[in-house]
Parts: sequence; structure tokens; C-alpha cells
Amino acid sequence: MSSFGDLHWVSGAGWSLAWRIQKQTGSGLEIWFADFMGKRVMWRGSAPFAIVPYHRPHAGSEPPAPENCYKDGLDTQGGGAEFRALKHFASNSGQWWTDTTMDAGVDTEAVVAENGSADDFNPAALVISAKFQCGWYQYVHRWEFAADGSIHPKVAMGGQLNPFTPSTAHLHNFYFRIDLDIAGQFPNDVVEVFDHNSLNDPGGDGWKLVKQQGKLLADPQTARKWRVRNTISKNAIGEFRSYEFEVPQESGRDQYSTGDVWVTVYRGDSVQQGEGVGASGCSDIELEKVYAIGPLDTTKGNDIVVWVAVHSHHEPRNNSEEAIFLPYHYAEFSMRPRSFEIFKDLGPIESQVIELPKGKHGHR
Amino acid sequence: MLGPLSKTEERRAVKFATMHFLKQAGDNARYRMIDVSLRIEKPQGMKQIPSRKLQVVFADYSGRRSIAVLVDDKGKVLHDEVLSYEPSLSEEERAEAREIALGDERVALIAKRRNVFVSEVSPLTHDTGPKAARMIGLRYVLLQKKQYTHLATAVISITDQEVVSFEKSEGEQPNQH
Repeated sequence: MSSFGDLHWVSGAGWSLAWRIQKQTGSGLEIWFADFMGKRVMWRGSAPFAIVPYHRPHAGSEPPAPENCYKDGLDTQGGGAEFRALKHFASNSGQWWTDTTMDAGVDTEAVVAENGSADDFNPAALVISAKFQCGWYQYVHRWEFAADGSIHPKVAMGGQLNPFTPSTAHLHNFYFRIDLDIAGQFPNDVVEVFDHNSLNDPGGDGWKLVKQQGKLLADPQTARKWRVRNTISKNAIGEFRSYEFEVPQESGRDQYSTGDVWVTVYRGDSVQQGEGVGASGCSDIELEKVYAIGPLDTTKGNDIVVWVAVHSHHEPRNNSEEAIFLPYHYAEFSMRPRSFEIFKDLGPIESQVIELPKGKHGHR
Repeated sequence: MLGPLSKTEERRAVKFATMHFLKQAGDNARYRMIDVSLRIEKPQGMKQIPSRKLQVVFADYSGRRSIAVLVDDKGKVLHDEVLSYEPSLSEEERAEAREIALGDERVALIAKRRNVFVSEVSPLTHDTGPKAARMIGLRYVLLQKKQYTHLATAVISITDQEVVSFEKSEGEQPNQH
């Protein structure tokens, strides 16, 4: 058994999946082989890098000019740092920037897999979390798999403010790579874009097929969302199964983080994982110009890989609440199933008692 | 197929991958094995399960490239590939970079001061230049009475065993935390 890099299997809330941290210092937490109610939903999900531009000119030396922008995580750029796995009980503090005593020695020290029970307001959920030091910052990678079939990938920002320019506002743009394999049927997915255009009924809402790989933009005015829809797998009444992406942004786009969603196709699990992105001026332009290139098969489908950027603007409270440390602030998006199952009664799902494997996993 | 990597399996993979690598790079190549891990790739057919492959990655300093050698669970070499990106630095490389830095008098003067710590960062593009190399940036910071002062940044080429750039941070305004 390796210190890092092995798959660890967990289950709960109708889900079974594996988690992995490839290296103690690298690109963070990955989720593999996520099956819901015995059906494959996701081959792999990861949040391998973040792009963090600062307002400029700023008072400190970090982040350095000319870009004043970090790419953190995989294939760092602009003075950025990799994600360093901490023991899961390491405090939320900037201390672990200079002190390595809370570095995780093995991956199971870093990850917590919890089975959250259903309550009066939420379904049960299998939740996988780990925290990573990144310079003075701390990032929490957290994936929630709910008993209603939805997936909620999240990243929290914590640690401490940039000590060289604590009052300078900046943006955290987190990039998630999502490889869905709906019902295990690949390469048979298409991507569609939803817009609510008017209150007409019918015709006010509509889905449009995406015909080319490329960059897509959010639009709250039209309740825009996206879906990966299978072209083969149907439910009992003949509807194609799909997963919808809802990306409620806390901030807009800029010259560093230029999009919200990118549609690409699977080219392997060792390429197009985020490497090379940021090489041109610390922007994400490579996702559009290098990764998301080529036509899509809108009839048969492709093995679709979706990149999602979650944008969050941070105006520091450096003289008060954030002077010592940053209380965790989560940014997230959701993926929800459509046309999978009719939940006849929530009881059987919510009350499922699903055991985690015993030992070695640092699980609660 | 997806079970944990055993020590025996790891040793076998490294042995055969190294032999394969040296056949290409030559016995005089300066290199380092920087990673061995399970490599998972989606199978071609839906009903197939992924085959078990191990990836052994070498930093080929002489050839200025990084190479992954793919080995099956019996140690048989399947193929190799030149990586189009620089994989993450190994712990050995990080330690070596700090040693190289300390060999430079400008860095040593700062690094040996009390209460100075080193933070690893990516080098800036204008520091790395066009030559492909294994690089790291080392940021030297003074931590005194809860004040951080950025003293200097050195960029180290592990490939070329040298300090590529050194920049003192002048006029840094420390901040209270």
C-alpha cells in the first residue's frame, strides 16, 4: 500500500465510489467510479487547480507582476503553490504554511468520509472531504453525494490572508474536471444548454444541443444551466437519462478566468487534467484553445468531459473577522439527475444504513 | 485491478522500467525516478474493466524531458511516452533544490538568518526561459513577531544544478498578523 495514490472505496446514501489523492503535494482530492443505486454516474471528478488574480497595483510583492495572478494546484504558474495535503484535523490557520507538522503522512490521514443521516430538511449524503495548504491559504475539497442522486462539489477557502498585502481584494476561480459516464454508457453523451427566455407556455424554456467542443458562458437572466444527456440509456417511460449542471456564480469572468463551462471529450486520464492551463499569462485560455477543440457527434454522442469554473470574489475583512485567520467560505456548484428514477417514497433511500469499510481510512 | 499498489509490485515495476529507460537514455544519462503510481485509463469497451498498469516516471535531466514508462502488473513494459508537461517535483528534487540554493552565496546569506523559512512556488515565465528544465521557485520569508517580510526569491534549475535567478525584495512593507 502506498502513502498516496491508492483508491479507497466508500459507500453510503445510495452511492458507492472511490477517492484518491495522487500525491501529498499536487492537485488535491479526486473521486472515481461514482455509482448511484448501482448505476454508474461519474467516471472521475477532480478540482485540480485554481486561478487567483489580485487587484493591482497592490502594496506587496506577492503575487508578483506582471500578472499579479497565481495558478495553484497542478502545474503551478505565476508564483502559485501546489495543494499540500494536511491531516484532516489541522486547524484552519496560516500556521501550516511555515510548519509542516500537520502534513498528512498517508492519504488516509487527510480524508474524512462521512455518512450524513437524513434529517427533516435534507436527504442523507455521503460526504468526502480533505484540506490542503496552499501557501498561506488553505483549501478544502469536499464532494457531497446526496441520496436524491445529486452531487455537490465544493471548495472552501481558509487559512490566512496574503500577509504581504492583506487588504487587497482578489478572486478565487476553482476549476473542476467532471467526466460523467451516465449509466456506464460511453461514448454516448451529448451536451445541451438550457435557457428560460420568456413566460410563454409552451415555448418559454428551451434546450439547445451543443455541436462543437468549446467554452460556454453562464447567464443568470435566462436561468442558464447545462446538461450531459445520454443518447442510449432511458428510464421506464422512455426519457433519456441526464445530469444537469447548475453553477450559481459569486463573481463574473475576467481576462484570467474567461468562462464558466467548457465542453471537451475524454482523451485519457493522464492528459488534459489541467496541465498547460495558465501557461499564457496565467489565464484559462488553454481550456478553450487547446482542450476544447473539435466537433461533437450530436447523434451518437461522445465521451464528454466537462470543465466547470466556480468564481468567487474576496474583499478581505483584514481589520476584523479575517485579521487572524479566514473562516471557511465555500464556493460550489451542483449536478442533479433528470429522468433517472421516480422516487416513490423517500423512506427506503433515506433510511438506508450503509456501512463504510472498516479500518485504515480515517473515516468517521 | 484497482487494488492498492504493493511494495513488491512497485519494486518490480521500477526495476523493469529503469532498465527500459536506460536502454533509451544511455548508461551515462543523469536522471531520477520521480514517481511510481497506479495508472488508470478508461477501457475501450463499456463492459471491460480497466487493466492494471503502473506508471514509472523519470526526470531525464540529460535529455531535458520527462518520460513515463508503463508496466503491467507482472513487470512487463507496455510502452513509454515523453510527457508534454513537467510533472510535480519529487521530495528528493525539492530537497536538492534547497541545497543548490544554499550553495549560492547570495541565497545563503539570507537563508541562514534566524527565523527565515522557505516557501515553494512556481517560477515566473520570464525566469524559466525557453529551455525545458525542472525548476522551482524558493521564496525566503522572515517571520518575526508575527510579521512576515519577503526577503528574496530564488529560482533553481534542478536540471542544470544552478540558481537561474535571484531577486531580493526591496522595500517590503511588513504587515502585522
